[in-house]
Amino acid sequence: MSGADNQHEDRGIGERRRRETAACRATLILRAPHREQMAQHARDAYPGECCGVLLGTRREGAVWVSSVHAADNRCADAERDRYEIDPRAILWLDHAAAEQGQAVVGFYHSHPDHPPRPSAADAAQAWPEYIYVIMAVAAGEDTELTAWVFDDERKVFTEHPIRVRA
Amino acid sequence: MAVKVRIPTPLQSLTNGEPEVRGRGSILREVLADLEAQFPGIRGRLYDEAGNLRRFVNLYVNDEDVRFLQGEDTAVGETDEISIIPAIAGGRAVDTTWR
Repeated sequence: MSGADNQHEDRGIGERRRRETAACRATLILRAPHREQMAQHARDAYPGECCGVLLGTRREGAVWVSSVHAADNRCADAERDRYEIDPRAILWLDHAAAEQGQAVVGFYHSHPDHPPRPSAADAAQAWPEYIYVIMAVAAGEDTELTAWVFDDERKVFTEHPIRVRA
Repeated sequence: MAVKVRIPTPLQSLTNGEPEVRGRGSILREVLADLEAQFPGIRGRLYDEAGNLRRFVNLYVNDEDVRFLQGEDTAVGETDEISIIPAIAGGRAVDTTWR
């Protein structure tokens, strides 16, 4: 087997292990309209990054998204590859969620023309427990959606499975 | 007096899972000290060793960021609400930190 074949096989094995490991982690459950809402926001913001807040609940070993809330990207001068959510938006949504017996369960942002994998910038400012959803947008069209949780001890993100229901 | 304090999900492991707790004090510093006495370790998540509010943490008294008030000397009353709001930011970059 050639070196190129070995590298291809290694990437395949790594990808399979990544997906198998992801299957053991809490699933992010959202409805199709939620996904489309994030996708539309990502398309509208392209080539800049969009961002927003996810409200929901944690039960039965999963994170259930009840609503998706677009937020302004405060990084107006660097929105092509950076995002920052106005803390006042999170403050307001935290209160709104509490009144409904829910909570801020995570956040989403887009990666224009970039894989939906957490970057060094994502890791540098990540908080544990939250679900970080990344929507990849290629040439203005949404492609893949991924979900991640930051391990504060190992300082790495771990991928979580997503289930989209009607 | 006891002031209501909202706790974000990442810090609830320190508050026995509670999203809302109460701390005693008439200024923010006192309330946070009381929280530390109740829930050891929480202050270290908010402030660094030099006593500066961590960059990725926002503290609000009602709707006002305390950085624009009197900081830890901000007065609080029974009807006020303190909120700990994580700074959420990031973006794509060349390197990846994932598995």
